[in-house]
Amino acid sequence: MSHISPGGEAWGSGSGQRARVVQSLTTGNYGHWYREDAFLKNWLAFERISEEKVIALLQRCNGTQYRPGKQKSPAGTEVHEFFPRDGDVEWYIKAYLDDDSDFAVIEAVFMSVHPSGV
Amino acid sequence: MKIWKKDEETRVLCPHCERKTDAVFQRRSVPLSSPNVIAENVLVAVCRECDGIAVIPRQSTPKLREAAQMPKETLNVRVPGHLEDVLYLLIDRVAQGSDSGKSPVLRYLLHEFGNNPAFARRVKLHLEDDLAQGPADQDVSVRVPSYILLAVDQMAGIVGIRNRSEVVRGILASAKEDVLEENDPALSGAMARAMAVA
Repeated sequence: MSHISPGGEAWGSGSGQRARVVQSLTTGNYGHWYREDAFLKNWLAFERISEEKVIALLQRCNGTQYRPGKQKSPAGTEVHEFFPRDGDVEWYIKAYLDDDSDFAVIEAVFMSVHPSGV
Repeated sequence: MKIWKKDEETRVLCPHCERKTDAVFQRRSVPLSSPNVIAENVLVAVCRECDGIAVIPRQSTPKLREAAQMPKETLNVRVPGHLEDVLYLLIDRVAQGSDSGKSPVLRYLLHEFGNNPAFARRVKLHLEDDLAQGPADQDVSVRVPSYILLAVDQMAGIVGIRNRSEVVRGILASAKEDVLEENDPALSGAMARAMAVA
């Protein structure tokens, strides 16, 4: 499965989105999309993977390991998908961002954090 | 870290309404399916329109983890006698031969397998070792939190290990090299520290 972003090697706007996700992890203003199977699909929600490790994985991403996308449900939601590698292991990180300056928002909400193949 | 308070307002992408909605932080019971538990009294962002749980903030993750750790079950596997000896040597090495060392040592290694894909891949490779072979003539039985076994089963599926007996064979063969032969000082040190507070 190829994860080439529309910009190929270039990050495009993805670099900025990655920085915002990392920033949310640093400040602790993030949350987790509610799903009953979060233990299996969102390892960060149960601290199966540390914040530090997720930051390191995100920082390791290059432009080909990022894909902006539209969520099927809720339809049309803009999400950010990262496919960083750690040795032989590919991870899958999906989050959405919110930045309404007029509202107290949760900056990033993680929908999936797990090794690929789950 | 951002700390939210009850009754504070925010905005969420509601999984039930499938659009952005206003939300308020409330303390709720949070049902989980795997493991099948309910985390009680957890601060969550609740959708104003459908009253459903939308987002769990960072500050609430310790309560989720605590709830997931509650159910326990017994892991029963059979291993070759020489691998049971490896387990007791590991107890000598990292738990100073403690009578209660078998469960913590095996629990630690199972937890590491379930959450560390790199370790799990090494375990898979060690299943081919001569050390991992032989008739499974010894019972190993330990009480383990169910969430550890869920993680073990998930990781076994990812790396292609068929069952829990093979996982235990593999982690003991791997720990023989990593810990007893000190090929992975970080793992040995982390185990010893974990055993000290177990």
